Amino acid sequence: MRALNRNLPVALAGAAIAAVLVCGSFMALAQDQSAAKVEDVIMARKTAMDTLSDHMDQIEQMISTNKISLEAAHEHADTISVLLMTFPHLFPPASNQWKPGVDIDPVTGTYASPDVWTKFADFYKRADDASKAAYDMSRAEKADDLKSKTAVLRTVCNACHAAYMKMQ
Amino acid sequence: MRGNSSRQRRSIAVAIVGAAILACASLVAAAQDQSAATTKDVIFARKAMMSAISDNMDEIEMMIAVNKIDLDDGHEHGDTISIMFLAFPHLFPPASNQWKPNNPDLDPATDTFASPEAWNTFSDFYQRAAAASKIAYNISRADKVEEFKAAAMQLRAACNACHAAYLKTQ
Repeated sequence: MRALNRNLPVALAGAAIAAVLVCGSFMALAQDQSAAKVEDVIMARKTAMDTLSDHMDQIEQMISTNKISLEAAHEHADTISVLLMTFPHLFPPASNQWKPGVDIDPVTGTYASPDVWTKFADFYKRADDASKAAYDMSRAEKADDLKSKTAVLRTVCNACHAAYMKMQ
Repeated sequence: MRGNSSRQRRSIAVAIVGAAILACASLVAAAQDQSAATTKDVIFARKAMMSAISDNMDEIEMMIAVNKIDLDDGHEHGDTISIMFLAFPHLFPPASNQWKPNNPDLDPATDTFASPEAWNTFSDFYQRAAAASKIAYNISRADKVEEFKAAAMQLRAACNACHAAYLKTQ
């Protein structure tokens, strides 16, 4: 019994080391993708947002000048829809890097609010809704249909930016 | 006296175990903070993206094949492909390594054809996607038809080589 008492702390310490090693292996597994740097994923998502914004501009431009090509608009909207589908997957926890009052690198610095990560389910749902709205635009059969669905997407964009984009 | 010392050591050991478990639990919780982004969703998203890349590439190759090259239009397709390739390799989280051989019931939307090699040799996979993005960028900046054609051929070769290495066909 005394021997058991003497060995128990050693056994517990051993268990602790084992637990740390097991956790370490989980972490190693999760970090198996070191080639994908945080700066890279931030740049990729900023470029994706910039591109989908360009495509949205093209659609809004054709609406405001009343020169709507449904075929061209469908193509733009389809690209927006696909980009928005992938967009929320480009926010790994390590890329939660916005800090107030810090000089932000225009390419690899982030303006994504920390709220993206604390309210990720809401952020994810907004991106999903936006992707569906863009998909609806890509299937609009009439100009008026396209106009009303574009207005829906613009509202969704603005609301999401208000909630999750920091302005410095 | 010996009893006190033994109790102390036991308490320390228990504290170490407790701290280790808490530390691990918090690390795992941090890593799993994004449960809304399901594995099926990310597989679906990357398949949709690859399909969109492929559609844009088809447009470029079609205009080359019929010799009706519109550089403005070609640039736009090249630009879209380039941007998509920047994001593409980030859509392969470890949990989405799910390909299994001889599965007759693969879901066309949410099951993956990505080879486990994409994860085993991830840095090579990543480098190929980055190289493809740069070639597509060159397509989007080609000033002359011949340049445009040459860059498109380079991209096709890069696509085929990557598919041969990392795409399973059943």
